[in-house]
Amino acid sequence: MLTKLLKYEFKATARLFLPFYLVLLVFALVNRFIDFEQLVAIDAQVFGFGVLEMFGFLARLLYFVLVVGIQVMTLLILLQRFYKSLLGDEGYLMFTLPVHPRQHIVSKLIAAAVWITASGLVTASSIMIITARAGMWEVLQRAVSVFGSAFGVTGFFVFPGALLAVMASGILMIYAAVALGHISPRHKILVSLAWYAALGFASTTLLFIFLTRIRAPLQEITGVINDGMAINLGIVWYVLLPAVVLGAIYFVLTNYILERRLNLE
Amino acid sequence: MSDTILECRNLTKTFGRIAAVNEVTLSIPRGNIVGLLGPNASGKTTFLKLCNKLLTPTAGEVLIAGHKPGNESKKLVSYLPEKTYLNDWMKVSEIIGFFGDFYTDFNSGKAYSMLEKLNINPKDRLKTMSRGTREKVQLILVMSREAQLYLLDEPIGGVDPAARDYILDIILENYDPATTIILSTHLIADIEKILEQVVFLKEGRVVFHRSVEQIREESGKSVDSLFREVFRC
Amino acid sequence: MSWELNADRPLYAQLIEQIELKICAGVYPPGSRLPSVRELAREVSVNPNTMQRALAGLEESGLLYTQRTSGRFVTEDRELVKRVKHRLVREHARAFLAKMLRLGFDHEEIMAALSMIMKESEK
Repeated sequence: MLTKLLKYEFKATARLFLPFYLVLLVFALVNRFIDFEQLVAIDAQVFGFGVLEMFGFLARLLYFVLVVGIQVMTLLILLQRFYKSLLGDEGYLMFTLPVHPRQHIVSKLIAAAVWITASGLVTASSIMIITARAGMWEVLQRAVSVFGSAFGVTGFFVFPGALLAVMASGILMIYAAVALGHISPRHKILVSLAWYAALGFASTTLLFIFLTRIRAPLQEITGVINDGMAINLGIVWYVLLPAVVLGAIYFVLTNYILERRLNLE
Repeated sequence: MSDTILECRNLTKTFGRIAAVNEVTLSIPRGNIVGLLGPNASGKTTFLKLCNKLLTPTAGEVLIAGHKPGNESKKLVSYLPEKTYLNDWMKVSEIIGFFGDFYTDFNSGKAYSMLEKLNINPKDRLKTMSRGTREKVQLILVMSREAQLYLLDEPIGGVDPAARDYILDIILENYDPATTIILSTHLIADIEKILEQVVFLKEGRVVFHRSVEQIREESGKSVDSLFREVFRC
Repeated sequence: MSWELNADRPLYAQLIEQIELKICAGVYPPGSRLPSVRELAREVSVNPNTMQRALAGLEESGLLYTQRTSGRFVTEDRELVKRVKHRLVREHARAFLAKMLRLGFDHEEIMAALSMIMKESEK
């Protein structure tokens, strides 16, 4: 069932994301070939004032708008796919499928994580397209090898893993806030926002207490910073562990609400 | 297999202070077409949503073929909500695929043949359809399942009289003695001939639950005129 | 011959009457196979269980019989059909008579009116 849910989740979201990605990459290419010196020269020759230069600026501006837009859109769609498709009218369909609520949450979560990653990668690629210069490949390779010698091969799994866990717990926090808002008889969106702030505050407080109670890692971290490159992979656990614990709490909470307290009005 | 397909005890749902469904106790046997009748805001929609677990009861419980609403009951129940709940960017054929993927009892051949009879092109997207057509598509999807219990919320509410006849025909065509259909409506005269039992709801309570033929025999009245009498303003 | 049902009388009784009428009128000739309950229910737009009840009633009176594998048939007993026909004539005539009497006509006036209408329809 989960794979079927995922299939439709990606179908529903891909049609929104992919065109956007394409436009961003095209704009990046356009920007890559904008040579302001040339434009100014043509302007001076042909128009006598900065027509092409203006278009050049416009293209650059649009690219930045798109970059920001994609991040915002990613977040909005992630939110909308949970809020509208489960707790809106579409919920009548989704919640009458013979599918457990936790499978709904997992499918939304996986899709959200994939699209956040994809948006990040596409944005990064677009920046590469614009800024790529000769010799950059070597710089990248050197960076990778420095990272590799510092953390070993496991580093290539542990860091992205930790990043993913943090991302997932962040997404689940949003879901939990929306679900908590859903319980409220009125002002659901406002209550969701309040819950989001409250959960955010509670989580950071807990994280802070966790990190201060465990002196060693803090010293380790400060030590690491002082020592420069002598980083121990162990510190990742202090990011990973709270993310997993908090994520699990949010997941259980969201699942409980969808399973036991659902009220589609 | 028990003879009761749907049973509820003291089922209650309140919104704030208003009890939309108020201590409803009801037992519906298998192999029936039951009319859930009541004026607006009598609790028909709320009742059907409780049976589908789209709402959580405030008190009491409902059992479907012995199961509390959940994964097991959802496999048995085919529900037509009163709103349009399908993704409007999808083509009808894609939605048929969707239903076929999730419901093992979905018969897509049936769906395609009904679409053809109603001249609905499966390649059309819901977005481009009129409200009436969309409602027909939804009903076709719901009736193309070979479910044990159909819960239809106002299946003939939004369509013209000609389509109404066709919808009743679809319901009769797909009805077989092992299945049960519970449908809510306020258009009683149009539908009473296909009903076997009726449940009258008033302000969230069951006024009575009787056999339709019994009503006609005992009162010499149609269900429609009895309804008008009970709910006279 | 179309189906006419009033929602204020039990439908199964009306269905029995109308199927009897159809058998007498030869719409369903003796020995012919009746459509299935489902088909009939759809044709008339009534609940299949109600139709089932009506057909069971007709079986009881012998007008219909079931062959386990091939379905439901109209009786081949033409005498029985004839008897039903006579019963129907009497029933309808009685109902007509009662109505006319209520309207204040006496038997002679009713007979006169009837024979006049008959003559007219012959033309």
